This record gives sequence, structure tokens and C-alpha cells, in this order.
Amino acid sequence: MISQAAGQDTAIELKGIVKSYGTKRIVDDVSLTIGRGLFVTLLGPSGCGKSTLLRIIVGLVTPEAGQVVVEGRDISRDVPHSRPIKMVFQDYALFPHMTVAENIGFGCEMKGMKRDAIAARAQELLALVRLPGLGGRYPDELSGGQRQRVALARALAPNPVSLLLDEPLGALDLNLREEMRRELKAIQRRTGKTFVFVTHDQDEAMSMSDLVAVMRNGRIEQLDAPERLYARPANAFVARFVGTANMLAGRLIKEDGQSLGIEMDGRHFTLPRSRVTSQRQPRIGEVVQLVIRPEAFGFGAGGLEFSGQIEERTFLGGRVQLRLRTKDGRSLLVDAPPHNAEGLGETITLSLPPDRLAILAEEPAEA
Amino acid sequence: MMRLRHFALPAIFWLFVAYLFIPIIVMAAMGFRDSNFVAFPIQNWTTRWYQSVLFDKDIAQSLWLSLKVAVVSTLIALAVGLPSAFLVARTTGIIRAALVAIIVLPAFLPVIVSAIALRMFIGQLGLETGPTAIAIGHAASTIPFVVLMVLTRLNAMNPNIADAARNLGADDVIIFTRIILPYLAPALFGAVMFAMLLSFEDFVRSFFLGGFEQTFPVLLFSKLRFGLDPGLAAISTLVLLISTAIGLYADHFLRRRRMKNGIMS
Repeated sequence: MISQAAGQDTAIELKGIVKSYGTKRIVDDVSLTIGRGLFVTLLGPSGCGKSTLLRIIVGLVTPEAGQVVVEGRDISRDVPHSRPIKMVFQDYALFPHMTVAENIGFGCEMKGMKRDAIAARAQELLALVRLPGLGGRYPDELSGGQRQRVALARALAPNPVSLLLDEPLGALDLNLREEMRRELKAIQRRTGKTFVFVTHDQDEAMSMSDLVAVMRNGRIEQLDAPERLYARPANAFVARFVGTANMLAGRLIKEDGQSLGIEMDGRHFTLPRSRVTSQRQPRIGEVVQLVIRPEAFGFGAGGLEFSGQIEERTFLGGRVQLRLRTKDGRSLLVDAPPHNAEGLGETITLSLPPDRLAILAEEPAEA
Repeated sequence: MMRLRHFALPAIFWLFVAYLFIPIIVMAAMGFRDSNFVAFPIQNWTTRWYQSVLFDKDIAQSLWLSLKVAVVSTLIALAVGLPSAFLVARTTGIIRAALVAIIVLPAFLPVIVSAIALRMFIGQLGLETGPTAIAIGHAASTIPFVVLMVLTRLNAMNPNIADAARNLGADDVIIFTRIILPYLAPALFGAVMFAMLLSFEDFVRSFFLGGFEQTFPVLLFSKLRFGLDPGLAAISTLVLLISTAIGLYADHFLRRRRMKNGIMS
């Protein structure tokens, strides 16, 4: 099972969590260890079980099997209102009839803190999320970004072991979202809390996280640092979900210690075995997938060569994205520098350094 | 088309306003007529009708009874309506539609039919006619409105709010008292106002279920049997003023920010 301890010690440990609705397994035997002080993201398409997993951790959903261990203590049987983990909801779920300060103070109040201490804590949190002086407002007098900050402050106020965030940036517009990403990350660093963040947006996941768990159909497909996830995807789903990928099918025809001989469109080439990123090693005669990122190509001949005609050309500011059609009919997405002058219909030759691709063994047919 | 827009539509509107308000203005004026009969024009003006109404013991007693009945019937309606609304809010689909239909049905019964039915039922229960019977009867007619108003507000509530409170350490009791009830406050306030008003103005049920003591509308009716006099106009005008004042106050109260969001704890 995929699990990885990082950081000094463990904040949250999930063991064999299972949850079904009807006959569908929403969370399918998930085990995950989250190190203290890390920013960990559960990334996956909607319906992959990532939000359900968060609700299981805080006890709002009861799993059929599995354990939730927080700082070494099994809290699986604890009632939700006594769990030491707080959550930021997707729609913020601020209490509309309470002021901002009362919202933030609610968790402290439930802990039985004194009135003065609660007020002081609310002020402290308002300063942390950079909303000083707004304590007397009501939620409907705030902008979306401000509500988001209040929701964050409210969850942090009772000083939880860990903070869970369920797609908290989804409702914001693009500029605000990018600003909030930086700010969330900054707040996480400043407070030193463990953040478990849920999103379907790969940019969000990549830009903020120490570790990303890519989820599909209730399972964790891969847990890795963003850079590694991008460079060494464990399977085709991860390769496609994280970033853009050209997937080229070839066949393994020769194995020779540290190198693999691959045949593709009648061409033969040798690649290092270290580029195999799937858990299973491919066997002779099997189909393998080569994962190539659009920016991995070099321009000009040499090494592993591809040439093709430019079918599409999209200027994206910092780069130009080209769609090539090779002689063999394959379609390739290629990132070129913005000054690239090649026009539609022209044929260009690209080279690919062998250490910039990933090789995936054939996957069993999906259930 | 232009002419229609410029003349016909405003004309129809103002005719409608006149139709609504002229009878009321005439009634208010009639209370100042220095004569024992209702007629136009008013030659001599007097305030004696208004004075006599203010110091009339029968009227004071009937208003007091009406108020008591309104309060008790509203409390009954809340006690039955609030849990019913919570029950309905938990259901979905066809069960919910059926429950709503059952709850709303009494509001569509002809008043006279429901009054007769209540009278028979109360006899079966061994209850005497009188204030208690009236209050029970009024509650039966206002419960549908209480349920609907509370249900509407409950439907608009973000279910994550309760989850957020639970996550922050609130148990069921605290969630109910600190989150759900305050959230429902505007609906509860509206329901109380509406139930009180419905009870206060009800004649038919009060008439059928009443005993020796008369509620205010019943008293007015019995006075009518001696003919229309300016005193009746004076009473009606005063009641109109009072209920308008209460209505405006309630509206103002509801517009205040805390009520809009729900009452603070």
C-alpha cells in the first residue's frame, strides 16, 4: 500500500478506510500517513472520494472499516465534536447570524475558554488572516475572499492538531484564487500546522503541497512530492491528470541489464531502465507507454528524433503550443519558446533526451 | 399603446387604490359623526364615539380575551408546527410531498366546515366551549402556516452549517439552540405574527367554539345586531390603526440586520 512518512513524526494516520454508498465503494481501502507540519493535498476528479475521506477524518461520515489515528491515538470511535481536527468547508459554512468575531470564537467557546481569552484569540486570528477590524461585521457583509479567510480563521482558532480544507478556493475567481494559494501556504508555514487540502485543480495541488496524493475511484494512485509526481508518474491516469502528457505506445522487445530496447512505428531505440516509473517492470513483448511532457522536447536533430507537420499553433504568452502530426500519424503536443516562428504546415524535427520521459508498464484492464 | 401606458394603466391602478381605501376612510370619518345613525354627509362632528369606545368595559374585556386566545393558540401552533417542520425537512421525494399535502390541507377547508367539525370534536373530548376550545381551534388553523414558514427557511439553510458547528465542538443540543433556532428566528417571528393576527381576526371558529365570553370579532358581530352606529365605525377604526401599527413595527423589526440573519444568542 502507498504510504509515506515524512516530517519528524506523524500527525494523521489512516488505516484501511472503506466507505460505500449502496454498492459503490467511495473510499476503497485507503491507508495514508501524513507527517506533522506538512501540506498534503488529495487531488482527484470529482467523485473520487477525496471529500468523503476528509469527512471521515473529522467524523462527519462513519466508515465501514478502518481506523483514524491522530498523534498516535485511535479516534475512530470518538464523536465528531470531540475530535482535535478542524475543517474549512467548500462553501465556508459561516454562521450567518453571528459576527465574524463570534464565528471565529465559536470553537474556543466550545472548548470552554473564558470570554476575554476568546475575544483575544479572535483578534489574533483576524490579524493572522489579515482582516483586522472586521470582527464586528456579519458574513453577508464580506466579499468571497474575506469569507474564505474568516472560515480559515474559525477553523484555526481552537488550535487544532491539523486543518482539513475541502476545495476552499473553488468559489473564488481566478486572480483571487492565486493570491489565496500563496496566502494559504504562508499561513500554513507560519502556524506550522498540518494541512490536508482537497482539490480537483492540479495547479493548486502542485503549487502549494509538500506531498500530493492522486486519487481515483476511492483509491490513492500515487503519493509523492509534486516534482516527482510530474516527472515519474506511476500510471497513465496520474500522467494525464497531473500536467499535460503525450502518451506514445511502443513495445518492449529487448531487455539488457540497465537498458530496455523499445520498438515504436518500426523504429528501434534504447532507453535506460531507470526511466520505468510504474511499480511493475514491463516484460518482453508487452506494450509500454512512453510519457513525454510537451516542454521536454528539444528543437533540432539528435538522439531520439520525432519530426512532424505543425497542425495547430496556440500562442500562450510565455510559450507557443504546437500540435504536430508525425509521419506515422501520431499527434504530439509540443511547447516551444514564444519567439518560435515556425508556421502552420511546416515540418520540424524534435529531439527527446532519454532522461526526460517516463516508461509505464501495461496496466491491467480497468474494472 | 403609448396612451394605454400613460393613462389607462395609472387610471386602473388609482381606481383600485380608491376601491380599497375609500370605504376605510369613510368608516374612519363616520366615527366622528354626531348622530346615532350612519349616513352622509356629516354635519356635526364629535369625538364622543371614540371616547366611549376607549372606556367601554365590554370592548376592553373582549380585546383582552382575544389577546389571550391569540397568545395561547400561537404557542400551541409553535409547539406542534416546529417539530412537524423538522420532521418534514428530513424527508425527501414523494414522502415529503405527501406530508406537506397533509399539513397544508386544513388551510383549504371551508372555514365553516372546519368550525363545525371542531365543535363536534371538542364535544367528543368532553371540553366545554370557551376560550380553551377557541385557542385549540385557532391553533388548528394556523399550524399549516407555521410549518410552511419554518420549512421554507429550513430548506434555505446550508446543511454544512450544522456540520461546521459539530466540527468546532458543538453537540446536538448546542447546534439546535445556538445555530438552528437563531437561524430560524426570522421565520419564527413571522409565523408568530401571522398566527396571532389570524387568531385575532377569526370570527367563525370563535363564534362556534365560544362560550359566554366573547372574543372581539364576536362582540362586534353581536353589536351589529342592534344596527350600524358610528360607535361601530369608531371601534373598527381603532382596531385598524392598532393592527397597522403592529404590522409596520413587525416589518421594521424584520428588516433590522440581526433579524435578517437570525437572532443572536
